[in-house]
Parts: sequence; structure tokens; C-alpha cells
Amino acid sequence: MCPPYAAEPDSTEPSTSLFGIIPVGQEDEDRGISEAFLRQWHTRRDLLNDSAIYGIPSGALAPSINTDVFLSFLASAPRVYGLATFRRFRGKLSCRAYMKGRSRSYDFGSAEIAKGPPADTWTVPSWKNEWTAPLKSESLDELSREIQAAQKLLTLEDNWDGEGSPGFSKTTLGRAAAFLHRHMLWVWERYGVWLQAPRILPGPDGSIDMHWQTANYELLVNIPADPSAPATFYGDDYGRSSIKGAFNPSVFNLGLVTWLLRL
Amino acid sequence: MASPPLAGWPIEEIPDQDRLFMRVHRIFVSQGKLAPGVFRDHGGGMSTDWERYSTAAETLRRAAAPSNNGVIQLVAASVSAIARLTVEHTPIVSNRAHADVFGEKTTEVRLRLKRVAHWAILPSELL
Repeated sequence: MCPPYAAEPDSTEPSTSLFGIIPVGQEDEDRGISEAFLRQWHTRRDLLNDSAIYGIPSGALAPSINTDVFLSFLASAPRVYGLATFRRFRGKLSCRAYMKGRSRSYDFGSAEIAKGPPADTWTVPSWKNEWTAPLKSESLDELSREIQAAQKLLTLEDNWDGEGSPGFSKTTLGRAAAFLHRHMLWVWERYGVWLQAPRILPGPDGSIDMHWQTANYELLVNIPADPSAPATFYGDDYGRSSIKGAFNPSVFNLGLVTWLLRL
Repeated sequence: MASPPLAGWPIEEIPDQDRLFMRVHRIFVSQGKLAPGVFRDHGGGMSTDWERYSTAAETLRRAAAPSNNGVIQLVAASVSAIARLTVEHTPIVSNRAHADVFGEKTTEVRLRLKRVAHWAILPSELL
């Protein structure tokens, strides 16, 4: 049995708390858990008092998201008290519940999946003060540091390299910073996840590059110097899948966010 | 086979296995890594030097301020393997080694070029 975890009413915490349920698919079996199953878990929302359950569609994350990293982000977020991931592998459903640094694994059979979470096993664990450090402020600091470091580009005048390259404008860097804030804050507010800040780099012809790189993925977004020109991006996982296109950087881009969540 | 001369130098075919050297201003090095923005065109193509007629050190010395630069190397075949890029020998009067990489330097192309580039001479701050 997989005991569900409810957010504990706690006078020291905000009244609205989060309880994350994350169905995560695997590449070698069914990708994710059915929506019907997730809805069964949502029906237990009444037991969570003022809590909210966030179910993230498996398609948005699976199969390649680094689950451990994603969970560590969520677990560090303020107001998140419990997390559970689900995985279907070789016909068996397993559930891993995380709470306050403790981790347990449970296995389900098909009949139990059909019934949904058993109400009689719901408990309110004691987990006060084990998760602290709001991640948001730290991550905002990280982003601010990157933007601050990129300010050095503004000191470069035209022909700074002796090869005729133009300088970088405050406007272009500002558009890049606005793009980052807009998208990173959206993800934070929606999912309680703070995305990794990119390296903010000089691009060609006075443009600004934003570069994310991990062992599994790489993404490059370019904000052109011409404010009327579209931003462009390309990302891939070094072989199997890729994403590329052009977009208006002043408008929110969900497709790009989906990719950023994989980084 | 050589084509009609350009700037007094014959235009030659660059063998696939030969290396091209390219200067990298230190501003394109961040956290010890090469920035993809270094791959951009100047006057129609991305300027490099063909190893047949230039060493990496000579490429560095041709910079306006050599102390602000490093040099990367790219194998011609690795560059040509990237979609829509071509490598052509384009000598100029003062530099028989000059070669251009033609083709749009999109975000995709720049990331791919970064992956096949290796340092020949590190910028001084990385030494």
C-alpha cells in the first residue's frame, strides 16, 4: 500500500500548502500514469484541508526528465510538504513518496490501482521544520548574479574585438533578462520549480545568448539586437530529440518551458 | 586541383582531415567554457586559417590584441558535416591560409560548431 501524504495544518506555515503528485513515465514501459488514476488521487483533496495537489502530466516530463533533480527542486520549495512519484514498469505500479527528506517506496497491484488510494491509510506525518530554505530567493539570487555578470558586455564598444563586431546594448540585455524572469517565474508559480539559470553570453552581432547545458541536454536561446526580429532557439539531447524555432521573446512560450523543465 | 588565384594565391581544396584555426576573444570564454556566440560571420563567412599555411600561434599573432585571444581548432570534415556549412579556401594578400566557413550561423549551427571545437591555444586567463 502506498500511504498518501497530506499537508499538515501548521500555524507556522502559510495556509495554502502544496502536495505534489508527479506521475513520471519511463522510456522502456508505459509512459506515465493514466489521467483517470490521477483524478482518483485528486478526489482526496478534501482530506488535505487548504492544500492543493499538483499533478504534472507525464507527457510534460517523461521520459527524460531527471526525476531526482526535479524532486530536489520541489522538495526545497517553500510550502511543499509531500511529494509522490508514480512509475509503471513491467505491469507493476510503484509509488515513491517523499516527505521531509525521507523517502519510501511502495508497490501497487492492478486491483489497488483501480481502487485508488485507500483512505484508511491516510496519515498526517510529523514533519515540522525539516524542509526550510525557500529556494525561490536563492534562485533569484543566482539569476540576478548571472544578469549582473552579463553587465560587463555593456562596457564593450563597437569593434571591441578589432574585427568590427558591434557592442551590446542595455536594451538587448534587458529583453533577455525580462524573458528569463517571465518564464522562470511562471514555472515557479505554476509548479513550485525554479529553473536552472543559464549562462548569459555575448552572441553574434550585438545579440545576447542564453545557454543551458547539462549532461543530457543543451539549449541555446538568442535574443537579437534588433527588437523587431524574433528570438531563435535550438536545443537537443545530443542525439535523439531536438527543438528549434523562432518566437517573440516578450510573449510567454509554453513549448520552451516544457523543454526547460527537462534540463 | 587549384582554382584561379585569389589575392595572388592559388585557391586550393582543403582536405577533410585538415584543421582550421580560429581566434577566440576572451569575452567568448565563460566559466572556462567556449561561448557559442564566437561562431559568427565577418564579411560573408566565418574567418579561419588553414593549417597548411598557418600555425595556431600565427593565427593568434594576427589578432588586433593577441593577449586578449585564444585559438580553437576545427577539423574541416567536422565543420562540413554540419548542415549547410561549407569550408572554402579564401586567401587574402596578407594571409595565404585564410579560409571561410560559409552558411548561416543559426543557433543550431553554433551549438554544433561548439561541440566540434577544441582549444589549440587557451586564452591567457585560462592558463
